[in-house]
Amino acid sequence: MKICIVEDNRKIREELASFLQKYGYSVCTVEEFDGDIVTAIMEQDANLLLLDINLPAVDGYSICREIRKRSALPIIIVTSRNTEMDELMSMNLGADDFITKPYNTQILLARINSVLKRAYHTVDKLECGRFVLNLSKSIVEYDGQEIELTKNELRILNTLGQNAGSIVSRGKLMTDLWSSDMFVDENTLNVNVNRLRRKLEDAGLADVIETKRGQGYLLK
Amino acid sequence: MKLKDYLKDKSLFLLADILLVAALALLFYLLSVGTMVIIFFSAIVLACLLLPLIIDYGRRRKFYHSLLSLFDALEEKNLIAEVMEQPNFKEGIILYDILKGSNKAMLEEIKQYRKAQEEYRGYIEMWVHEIKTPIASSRLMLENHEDIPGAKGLCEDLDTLENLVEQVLFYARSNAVEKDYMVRRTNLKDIVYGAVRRNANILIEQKIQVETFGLDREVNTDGKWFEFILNQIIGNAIKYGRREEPKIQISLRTKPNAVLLDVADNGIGIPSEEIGRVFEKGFTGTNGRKQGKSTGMGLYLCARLCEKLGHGLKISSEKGQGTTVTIVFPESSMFQ
Repeated sequence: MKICIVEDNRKIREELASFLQKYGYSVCTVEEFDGDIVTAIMEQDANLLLLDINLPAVDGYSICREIRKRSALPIIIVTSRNTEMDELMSMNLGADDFITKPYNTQILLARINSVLKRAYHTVDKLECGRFVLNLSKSIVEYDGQEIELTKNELRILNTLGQNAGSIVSRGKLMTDLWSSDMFVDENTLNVNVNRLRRKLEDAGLADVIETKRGQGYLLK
Repeated sequence: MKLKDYLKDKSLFLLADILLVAALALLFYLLSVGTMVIIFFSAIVLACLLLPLIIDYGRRRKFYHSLLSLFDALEEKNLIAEVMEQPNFKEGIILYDILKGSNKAMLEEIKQYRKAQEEYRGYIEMWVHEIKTPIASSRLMLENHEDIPGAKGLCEDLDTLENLVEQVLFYARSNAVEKDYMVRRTNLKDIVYGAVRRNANILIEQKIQVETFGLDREVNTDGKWFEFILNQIIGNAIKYGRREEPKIQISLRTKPNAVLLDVADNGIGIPSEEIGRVFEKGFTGTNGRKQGKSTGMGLYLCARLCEKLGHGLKISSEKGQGTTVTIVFPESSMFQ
């Protein structure tokens, strides 16, 4: 999936680009703001547009309106203006979502993900070595079997899978769960991880989640 | 204006009149004019002299009387020049012109202050939006390099910084003359979750358990404003939480004419002699002084903003047991 970033602050643009690349998206940016931005954006042929509202020379809202006239490209508006009016206006101009600066990156990722899912009806699958994690159906596919997961288990396995081969700290797992509105405590995390392990074990996937004492978990 | 006061005012004039009549009477007497003639003549002269005074008194009395009763009835006393009638005698006209002039000058002055305040607020608003860009880019840089030493501490400081910046913005908004919020049907769950998520780092770090009940309900509020209010309340619950098994419970209750949102913690609580003052501007209390992080602005702003949005705000606490802040959303069956 290709994401186009329209943001006039160079640092944010670059950091955001490298952040999104880390999560497997390809990224393109618009760096000239005096020409025909709308055409420049359309030429990138991206799957999603992250659009800042406060741009030099042009107003992000008018870009949004222009693009909506020409295509159904999913748009997430990013702004530091955070009134209800701004949000309503963005939605009325045809934006798909609205997020305020400074944003939590995990939340930004979740929003991008859900907008993309809505727009392209993609079946979200994550290859995790021996098995496949089907995010759309919330199941693990292994050896012809389908193992059903709860919301928390799915989220945990997703985070571990994205970082397969490296240790994920418990803190990071918690932060990820919290960013999707599951405000779990450490005990619940333990219970969830253990139950997840047992489920995978029952299906024949023994020892895929390794506990690294004092550091976190590792998906092999 | 009483007649006595008026006559006292005109005493010099009256004295001269009496002297004049007396002198004339004496003159006539010395000229051997008949007594009846003298009395008659004196009466006519006296009447001619007093009649204008009486008429003048009547005019003034009417004007001042209506002016005074108008002034008493007026709620905004400074508007007297706008509503008073123009008098029909010279002194009154002078007074009228002076009041009008002074009023105009005062309005000019107020206009200047109002403009200055609006400009200041505009600047604050712009500044807050400007500073969010470097905060956002710092945050991104930290995310991209989470393993550098000190990243966690920096992240927490950024949270604090962001909260302080927000307070400035909402302080400016709470003093604004014009209305820049929008009350509409909003789902409480989304707002509460948003506010909890914003504090995720510190809540996880301090192992604070968060429980929510029955929040899926719509109320009349402004989402952005209310998220700020909740954020302040949750911030306090974190700041004044207990060490062992800290917990924050956010739950909804429904009453016949209202929906109530409770944010309860099991923290150190507020001393009963201080609870009545926590919504005062700049009040920090013993807890705040011990913590050293209190600005005394959080709850003050909550109260101001709740008042504007039409929400009730209550607080109850037991020292050592915890504090519960309740927001009341009035719900009238008439509007549904």
